[in-house]
Amino acid sequence: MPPDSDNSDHYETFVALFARHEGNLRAFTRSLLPSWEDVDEVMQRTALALWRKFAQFDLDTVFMKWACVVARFEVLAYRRKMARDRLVFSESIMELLADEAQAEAEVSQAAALGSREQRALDACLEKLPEAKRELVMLAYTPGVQITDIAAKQGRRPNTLYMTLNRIRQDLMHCMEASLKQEEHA
Amino acid sequence: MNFESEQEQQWIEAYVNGILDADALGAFEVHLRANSGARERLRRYLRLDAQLRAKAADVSPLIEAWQPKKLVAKPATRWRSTWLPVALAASIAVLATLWLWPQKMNLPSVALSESEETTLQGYAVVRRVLQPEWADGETARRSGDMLAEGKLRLQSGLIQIDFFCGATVVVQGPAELDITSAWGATCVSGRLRAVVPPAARGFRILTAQGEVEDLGTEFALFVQPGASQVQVLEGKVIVHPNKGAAREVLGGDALQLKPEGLQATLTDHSPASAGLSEIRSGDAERESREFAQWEAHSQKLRSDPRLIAYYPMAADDWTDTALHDRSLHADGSEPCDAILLGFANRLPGRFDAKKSALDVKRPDARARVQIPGEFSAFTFSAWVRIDSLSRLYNALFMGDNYNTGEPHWQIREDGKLMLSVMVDDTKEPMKPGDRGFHRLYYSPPFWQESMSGKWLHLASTYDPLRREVAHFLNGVELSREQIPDKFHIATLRIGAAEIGSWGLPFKANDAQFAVRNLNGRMDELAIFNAALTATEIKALHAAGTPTEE
Repeated sequence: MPPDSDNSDHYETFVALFARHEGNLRAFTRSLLPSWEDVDEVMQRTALALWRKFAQFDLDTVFMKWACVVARFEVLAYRRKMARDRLVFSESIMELLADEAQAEAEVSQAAALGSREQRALDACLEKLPEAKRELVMLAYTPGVQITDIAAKQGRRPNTLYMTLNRIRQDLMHCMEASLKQEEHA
Repeated sequence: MNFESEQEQQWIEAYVNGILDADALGAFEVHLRANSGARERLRRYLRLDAQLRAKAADVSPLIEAWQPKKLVAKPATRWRSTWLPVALAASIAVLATLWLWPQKMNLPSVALSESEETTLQGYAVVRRVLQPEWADGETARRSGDMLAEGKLRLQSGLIQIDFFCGATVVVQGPAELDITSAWGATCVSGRLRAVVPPAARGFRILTAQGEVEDLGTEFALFVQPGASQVQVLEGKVIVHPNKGAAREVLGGDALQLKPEGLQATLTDHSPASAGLSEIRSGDAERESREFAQWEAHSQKLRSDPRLIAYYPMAADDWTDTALHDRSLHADGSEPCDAILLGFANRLPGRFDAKKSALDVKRPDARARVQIPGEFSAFTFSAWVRIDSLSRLYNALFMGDNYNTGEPHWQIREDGKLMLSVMVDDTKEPMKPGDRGFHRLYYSPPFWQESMSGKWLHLASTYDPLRREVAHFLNGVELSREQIPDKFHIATLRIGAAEIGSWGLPFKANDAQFAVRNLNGRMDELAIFNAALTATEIKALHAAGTPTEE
């Protein structure tokens, strides 16, 4: 059944659901694809596919679960069309990762955990020295290439990657500690 | 988060940074495949990556102000709240136009999303293998495996590859073959024999010294460094040497392909490699041997005192209208034969049709049993060949009315194996249309389109004592889950039930029934009054496996 384009309620419901779950869906897609450019591309296709099929979506079922199935399909279709020289996981590993990521996303507390982690991350970013915080935010800004930052700063890309690795590791430890504390509180 | 090793840390960091090279990616995959902890750590790391990206996209305006223009994101890649409405608006506009278009427009092809069609990768399929030994690091290929482009390095034994153009190639190890398309391959070294019917004329095998193009029927090739020998057994081939003119070679003739060109007749006439008849007869022998092995195992299994019922569907069952319960019933109880009704059918089973299998795919087909008694645990074990999971729920073994203590064993359309037992049928259902108080235990999805038509061993255990439900595919545990206290039930029953369908659901006076008939075949079913261990399930699988799987 085609989506009914006259039905603006329908459209609004979709946009609301999509907006609420987009972050988690992007994280799910990212767990399968090697770069953010790939994720952006697949998310566009996924959003369209979800909208096209939204008429078939049963509002009583879980949106995220349904969206993951569609996103997974788009990821695999995209993977098959990717250039052969691209470094990307083999299909069987991707299937395995997708199964597990899907199972993880389906757990009822997934969303709650996600927002707890988000809060922990905010707090941990605050604790970083300012230069590091700015660097990591810059490195993650859509469209920014590490090699460009390195060239601008007159550093080797590898040095920058290593710095980012360390920052992520620090953030991870900080988040773990604060989540644990929250549990015991 | 702590990594398992420094190596693992390096892989995960390099992968996330997008700087992992091809060799490392391969090694990383091997590590990931074997190690669920590593996969979890990768997911955790990527989750942080996603959280940082989301954060950066939110705060980027600040950075835009702070950073030189060149580094600022292009609008196209700024995802949040920019592209989605635009993309949607565009799609709505397109769709709206199409719906309003006059009759000329071919609506179905537009409305049907191309992404809905299932596709697989492959130029050829492995039809048979005979005593294969694979080179180090090479994937062991089995009958039914799809082959896309890529190398096959066989150390010894035979493999029959059916190319989708119609050509059949038998490769004899030691050999190295590189599949390039549905119409040909490169033989790096070793012996092969190709049968090329008229439909596949033009099938080509490339060697270092030149190319062999088949114009129909059969040729043998022996590729060695420096020289390759071509022998035409029947029909006609054209040999294109890298140097010099191409030549037609007719049945009975042989040639040598050398870097300097073609050379006629050979003094040391190498025998042609093994062909189809050798691999076929080897295959038939193996099947007989495996069938005999299975029969011995099946005979032994019959006397397992834990069996509730056992339907081996052995050769003697072909013409019966019942599936015989062959378990011994040492306690003197009656065997619980299943009655075949409606259009229940028998089709060839495992071991190249040396035994039969049950086919209840039509909605009017039934295999019904009546199993009295009370039980303290369940194990269901079956060999199935699924054509497709075409129903929302695909039945394996289903208690009729799903009364208290009765099991439902089935597969959901997304490929999850499910087992449930009714805990209390007098309680209010948990959602409309459902019945009573019960819980479904799912495995992760195991089904892939490429499994269609292959024999699979499925097993599930329900263990009230340990309060666990486990699922298995081909002897490997898929999942193990706790039975929560409120869903605990100690006394289990079966009563009236169906194999591969669910014909008499909840109410006796209701003609309506859910269609859950399994689209495929089942060729051995065992039900135990015990939760078998993972080791026992593994042994059940091993004893019944045709090598082709």
